Amino acid sequence: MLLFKPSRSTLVSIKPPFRLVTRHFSSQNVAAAAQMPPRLVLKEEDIEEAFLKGSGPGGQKINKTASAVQLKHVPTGMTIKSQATRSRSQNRKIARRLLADKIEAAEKGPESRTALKANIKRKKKASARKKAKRKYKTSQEGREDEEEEVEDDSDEPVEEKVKEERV
Amino acid sequence: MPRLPTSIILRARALHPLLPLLLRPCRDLSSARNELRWLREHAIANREVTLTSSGSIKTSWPQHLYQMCRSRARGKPLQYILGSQPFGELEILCRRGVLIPRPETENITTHLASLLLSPPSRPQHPLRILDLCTGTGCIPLLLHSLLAPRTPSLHLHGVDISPAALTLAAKNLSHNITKSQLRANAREQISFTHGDIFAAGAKPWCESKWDILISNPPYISPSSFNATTSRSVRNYEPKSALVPSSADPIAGNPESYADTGDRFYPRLLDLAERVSARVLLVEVADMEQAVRVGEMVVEKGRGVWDGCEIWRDWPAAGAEEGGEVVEVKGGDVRVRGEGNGRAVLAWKGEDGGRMVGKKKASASG
Repeated sequence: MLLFKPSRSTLVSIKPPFRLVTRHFSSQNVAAAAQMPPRLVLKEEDIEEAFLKGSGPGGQKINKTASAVQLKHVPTGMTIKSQATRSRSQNRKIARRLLADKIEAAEKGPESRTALKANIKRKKKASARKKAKRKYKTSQEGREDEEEEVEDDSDEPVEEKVKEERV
Repeated sequence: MPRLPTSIILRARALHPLLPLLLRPCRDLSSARNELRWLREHAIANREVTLTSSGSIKTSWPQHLYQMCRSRARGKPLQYILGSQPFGELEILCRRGVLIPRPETENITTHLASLLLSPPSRPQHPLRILDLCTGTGCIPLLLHSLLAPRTPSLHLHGVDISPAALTLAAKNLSHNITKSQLRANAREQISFTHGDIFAAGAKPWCESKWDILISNPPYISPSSFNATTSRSVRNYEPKSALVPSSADPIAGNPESYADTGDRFYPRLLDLAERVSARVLLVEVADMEQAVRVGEMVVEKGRGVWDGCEIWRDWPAAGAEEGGEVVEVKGGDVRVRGEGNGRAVLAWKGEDGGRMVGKKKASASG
């Protein structure tokens, strides 16, 4: 990070060790993100797509909006269904990701990406709640008010979306 | 159509006050919930934000959502309400007056592309594909999106009789290039022109040679249009894209095609011969029609088509070995995949067979 407007000469004069110094302005926990295990990649030949046959005629005769994709991981027998979007090719990608997460969660338990992510999220929420409480307390100073419940709803829409994807 | 049980309507209303409206066209709770979610996302994404005089922000998306649910309840296709339909990786714009692309068409187009790309059949020379009755242009656009990354030179051409369809097809081409779903060279490699495939005169597109002829023509017979199409299709989609018009001249025996939707196929077969197509893929309504089209292909004789097979809705599904066959004019025709009979594939010569992954010996039909 260069704090001054650099002239050409100052830029050259900066020694390599100083240039390497970087600061993180993001509030995200960089260490936790770095520790995240890599996503499990499933072999294509282990995945079977169930062909969800609609009853009755198809083609031009009806115009259906169903785009659900159901995948089965043959070695583990696990299945997942996704109807998150109207696009079947998009749902295929989402279903593959969810299936990989599900298998990883079953294999590694608390060490899996999903569990670690949930953990980080929970900690973040707890700390946000704590901060909110503290702020509320200071603003209410002088007043002896016991109502300290501050709901943190910021995560709700995200959770709701994930739930819908899993329907 | 069976009446919806009161219990399901009550359950829907408990979940969301707008769900009972969507149950009317959807008929089941889970697809109604999906549609509500997509409509809601659309309403929120397209909301108009207005500042009131008192300084507060006002959006009218709930009102918009309600109106969209009302028109959906009357049977208006979701794709016309939202204005688009995903097709492969593409977003195909949909307008009243042009047939909405179907997932079955997406399947057979994708399967054809995967055959064309599989190792033994990799095309070296410029690959030329003609799509008749192109509608929204979904078939050439999807073929370009699938083939272009691995095919050095492509030329795709779509023909339709409807000016509204051609306007929309051109719009779809630019729309998908803008969204980076199609490469910029799609603009040079894909073209659309107006044309009546029954017209006698020579048109530039039927004077030149094409490697592949593909078509999703109107194929529903007038009687099954009344009996088997869904209400939303009947009331909102263009009949000219679904039922062959009785005014279209009939090639061959007029009696045998009287009440079937087969009118376009003899003409498509003639045109395929005329443009020296080595691969022909046409969509059909069901297994019976697939067999009838298979018969037309076999009748042309070995000199014209060397092989023929029938694809179901999911041509990629099912076992590769020992597949199902149907008898057509005394010969066996291979049936691939699962679901309803959906398309007929024919190929010509060793070259045509190689393009769709056939070895020399396995030609049947």
